[in-house]
Amino acid sequence: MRSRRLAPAALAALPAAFIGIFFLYPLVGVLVRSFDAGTLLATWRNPITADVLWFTTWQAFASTGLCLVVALPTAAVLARLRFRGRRLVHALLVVPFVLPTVVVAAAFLSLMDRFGLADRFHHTVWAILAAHVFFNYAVIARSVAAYWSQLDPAPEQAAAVLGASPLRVFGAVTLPRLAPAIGAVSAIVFLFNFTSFGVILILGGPRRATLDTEIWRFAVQRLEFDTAAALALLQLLCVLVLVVGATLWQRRRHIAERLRTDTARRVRGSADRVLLAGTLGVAAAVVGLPLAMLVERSLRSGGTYTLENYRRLGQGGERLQALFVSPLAAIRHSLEFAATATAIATVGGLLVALAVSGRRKRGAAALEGAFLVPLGTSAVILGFGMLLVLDRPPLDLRLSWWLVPIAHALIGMPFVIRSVTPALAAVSPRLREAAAVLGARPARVRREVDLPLALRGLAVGAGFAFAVSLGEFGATAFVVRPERPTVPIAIFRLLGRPGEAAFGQAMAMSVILLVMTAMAVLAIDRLRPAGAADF
Amino acid sequence: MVTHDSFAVSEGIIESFEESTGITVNLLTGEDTGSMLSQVILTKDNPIADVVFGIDNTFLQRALDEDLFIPYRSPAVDSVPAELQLDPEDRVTPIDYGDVCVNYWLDATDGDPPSTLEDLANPRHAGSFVTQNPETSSPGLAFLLATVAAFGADGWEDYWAGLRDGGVSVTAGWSEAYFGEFVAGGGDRALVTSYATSPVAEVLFADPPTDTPPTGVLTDGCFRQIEFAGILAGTGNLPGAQAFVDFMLSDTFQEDIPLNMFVFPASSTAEVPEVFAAHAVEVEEPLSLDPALIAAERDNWTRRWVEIVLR
Amino acid sequence: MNEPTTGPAPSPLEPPEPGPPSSFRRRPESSPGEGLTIRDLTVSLGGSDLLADLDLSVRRGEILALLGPSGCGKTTLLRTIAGLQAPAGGSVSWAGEDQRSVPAHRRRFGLVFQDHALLPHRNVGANVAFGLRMQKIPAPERRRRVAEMLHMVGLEGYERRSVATLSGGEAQRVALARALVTEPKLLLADEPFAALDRPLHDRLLADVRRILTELRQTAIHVTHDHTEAFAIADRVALMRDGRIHRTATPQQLRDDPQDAWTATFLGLGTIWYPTGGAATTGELDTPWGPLTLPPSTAGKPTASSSGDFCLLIRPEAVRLHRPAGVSATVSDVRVAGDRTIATFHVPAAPPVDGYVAAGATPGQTSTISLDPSGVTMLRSDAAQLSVRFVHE
Repeated sequence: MRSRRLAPAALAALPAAFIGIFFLYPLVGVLVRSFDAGTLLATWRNPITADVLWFTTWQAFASTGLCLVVALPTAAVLARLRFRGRRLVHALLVVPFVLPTVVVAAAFLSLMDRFGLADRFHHTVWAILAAHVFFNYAVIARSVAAYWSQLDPAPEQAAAVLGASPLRVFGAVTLPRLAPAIGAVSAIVFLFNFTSFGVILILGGPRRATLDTEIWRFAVQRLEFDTAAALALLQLLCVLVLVVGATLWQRRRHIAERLRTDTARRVRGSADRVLLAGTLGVAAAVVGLPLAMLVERSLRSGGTYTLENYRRLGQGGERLQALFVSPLAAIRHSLEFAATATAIATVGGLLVALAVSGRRKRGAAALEGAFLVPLGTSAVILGFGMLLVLDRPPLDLRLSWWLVPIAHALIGMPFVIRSVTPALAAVSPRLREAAAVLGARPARVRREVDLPLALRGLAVGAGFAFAVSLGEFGATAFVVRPERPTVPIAIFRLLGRPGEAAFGQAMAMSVILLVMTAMAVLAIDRLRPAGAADF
Repeated sequence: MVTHDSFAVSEGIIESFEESTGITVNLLTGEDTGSMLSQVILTKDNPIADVVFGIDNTFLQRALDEDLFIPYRSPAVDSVPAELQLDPEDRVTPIDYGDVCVNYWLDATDGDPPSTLEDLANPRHAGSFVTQNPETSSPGLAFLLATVAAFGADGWEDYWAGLRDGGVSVTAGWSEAYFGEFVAGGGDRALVTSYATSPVAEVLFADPPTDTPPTGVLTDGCFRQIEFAGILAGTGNLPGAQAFVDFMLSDTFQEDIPLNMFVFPASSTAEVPEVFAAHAVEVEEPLSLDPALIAAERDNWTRRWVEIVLR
Repeated sequence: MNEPTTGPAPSPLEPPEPGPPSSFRRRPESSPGEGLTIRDLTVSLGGSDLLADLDLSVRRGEILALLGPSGCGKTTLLRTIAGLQAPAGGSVSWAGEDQRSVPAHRRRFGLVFQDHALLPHRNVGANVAFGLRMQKIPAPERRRRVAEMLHMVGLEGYERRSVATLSGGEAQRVALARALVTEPKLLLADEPFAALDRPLHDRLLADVRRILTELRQTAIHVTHDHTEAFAIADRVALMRDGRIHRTATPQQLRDDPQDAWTATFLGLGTIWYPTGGAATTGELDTPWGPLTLPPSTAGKPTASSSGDFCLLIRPEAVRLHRPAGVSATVSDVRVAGDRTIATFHVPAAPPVDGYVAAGATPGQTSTISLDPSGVTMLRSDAAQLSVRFVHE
């Protein structure tokens, strides 16, 4: 058996080369190009840097914690209860994820305005936290629910029979069993919050800065690349520490579980109904209300409710020159980019997950962690790096169509890895052995045993990869060609000029982005096989 | 050509250049002027493009200091007013200009909008002005420079202290100010830092269509932004690059500029479209500062500004 | 979640009629060549040997029970044979061919796991068909053989059932069917019945024995339960601390356990260590009265001094109502099968079990003596006899 240990490493070779060429190489390139030891020391010693680092870190922890508190009950309901519209709720939750920050900010502010809280809310930390929960709620709820629904409920039932209250059961049995999935996804959400950019600038107001906003400010406003590089290096170090710590923590918590395909049961009894209603209520408040504001605004035109904004989008023509192309073309570009990026991220992520699953070696942890780092890297720095180093054949990609899906795949891959790894780690080795004894080669074992059991996580991860690509703005703005704008770029261009019609169309475009996302995620969810009907 | 994300052009304009010259134009955009210039500086050893367009006078000196350009004096520059030609060595070519001015929402100012910069700081406008952070926004920086030009190195800080006490709101970018807090997007602030040409867009993109813009422009205290094109050193196609700079000063391109980018064409021979001429405000005496002074003092000014307004 | 099955379940306890379908070929009556041979097998984990210099052989068509207490290395041995565990030394060969370089998926041995290890994402039919698919058997033949196999294990028509809905016994049968349908050279079963209730256990055991015998399937059946081992196996390999302690037929093991550890592990009776003088004459003083050692002990290690040998006192040795005997107190009266057993306590002696008439009550006093026919002389094994085996 020992000789075949090589195989997992070989699996990861392709994705490792991918991140090496398209992430590590550009990152190192831009950092080396801009590095200056004196500036580095001065920047790191600057008390303002310490303030920024502190704020960046604590708001990321607070946002992630808040997100967990809000999202875990939803995960419980999605995992354990079977109800009409479950798939739809599952898909709709992803929608906030893709929205441009400026659109979300508008939705938030008009929502707060309705409650008369806008002044007390705008430009506060609460606005930042609320926006982070809004964006990442689905990431936690969906990923944890996918894993949770595969867990055998017997241990919980045993604990309940032994006299534990439902809360005790959750704390003493369920939570530890969920730890691998929660840890995996929390790391992602934390990195998202850690590198938060638009939310900080727009909702947090001009007084607040994170490492990411400071890197951007120094790189593209002050053109002080040495300072930007010093901050980027600091950001990278923090992310590395976090990633390594989280990965090690998570690996110690891997438990072999007897995974099922889906353990959800029908809603029965009033307790279930109360739980379901409560959770859907929370989801509606967190995700639904801001989205409703957005939809409402997109339907407002000339003081009345009409489909005018959508009709104008459909017309195209002179008034949409800002886009270079018709909105339909932007939608097509977005879908092409997203499909390509999802394909790369899914295949690459799955290969990595297969390579690292079930291996407790440090190398595996490092490999898994390495793929998280792009999430925690400034899009500006990465964008610069790509333009800087990918400038010669055979990798003369600066004008290439491929740069966009590649950048998106870098961000999407960790979602796939993190959604799949907990399930793979929980697959009982007995199942693999059973397949092997029945004549399945190691590769066949992965296809017949690991892959089907990882499919639920894979669908969730692929859905997020797709959504990430649809919604990504920061890196896209750097590498996209103007004649191939994506939907978020189109929204930004529409919002870049005065006029109510432009604003209304931007809102309508955002709603279209929402619908696209929900439909794509629903479709990806459908791809996964239902139950065990395969004989 | 590499440019910023506000670049826009009508269909067929660039194609006409391609057809007449046989040169294919590839467009690249940075996110904004700053990120575009960053890209150009970082990649100057192996330039990402042959021509860069969109560097304005606030960034000009920085770009010149980096030795990015091959000097080129297009024959068409002769039709550009001298006050727009900021580089005597012809390393960059002026293409368009626009003025950053305070805009007001007519219905929200009771027919009595501010008429001067000083007036803007008057307590009767307290709580109704929103501008952008000069550290993160191009019009925000331009407006700060306007106050420096207007009140001098000694006076601008007191002026901003007054605005701060009057409850000025600061956003990160133009969109958040204009659509987030200004009346236009449903906010409650009647005054916003924008462009002298914004009323044109308010007419063009009105909903329902109208002939009267809902906004007006405070023509005092406007800062003039001039956008330049330059041929990047290391270009592999110098004749093509020169031809494209010539093209950008041609009437075909110049006359397409106003309704796409909402700025004035630099060439005096270009005719401005009617709707643009009707609603764009021509600023008689725009403020400006020497690009070298901007480059030298910019960081100090923005730092002081942050201390005065935000802390 | 062994939920009760629903739907028209064919009784799993009835042997299917008629006998095995034709496609499952019996192995030839007299299997030429050898089967499994294990020599000097050593398996180490974390520096300690789980198996040490282990030898074992299984003839073709033979059912061998691998019997031993928990933790003695049975499962490790099974996994090593299957190719799931790499040995540190020694050899495993089949028909004279060394299997060391043959990976698990090419050995064509079948393995039934203790926890069944049914693939949760596949239904019963697909689980059973898995090995056939790996062998690239065409679909129509696959379907036929799966159906026949399910019929054989009493689960006819279960193809489309989800494995999550199976009861423990049904899951066990599916696991067995999955292993058998590929006609493995050697079937390895790892405590497959450990979690089943007694009647189901016994019926399934009989079924499996019947099926294996009908197929002339070579098999190693791992268990810690000697009744199970005796019921299913042609031969029993007794395993102790990583070694094969002894291999014999069930009959031999029961009649002549040879040493105290074996007798205790098999639960054959009470072990008594003589404390008195020498027993060279064949006469021995015991707490239950004088005993004439049976002639069958001749040839056993000479019981020249106390401590070298001990006596196994089986329940049938304990006789009641003899005129000559000692007085004993009765406790723990319990029914065992169709007889009743009680435990008798005599001062300064270990308690012994004996058969009593129904109606005996705890606390009563009886006069008992020992009948030599129920006493077996054993090698003493005091040093290694630990309390844990008593519970087995």
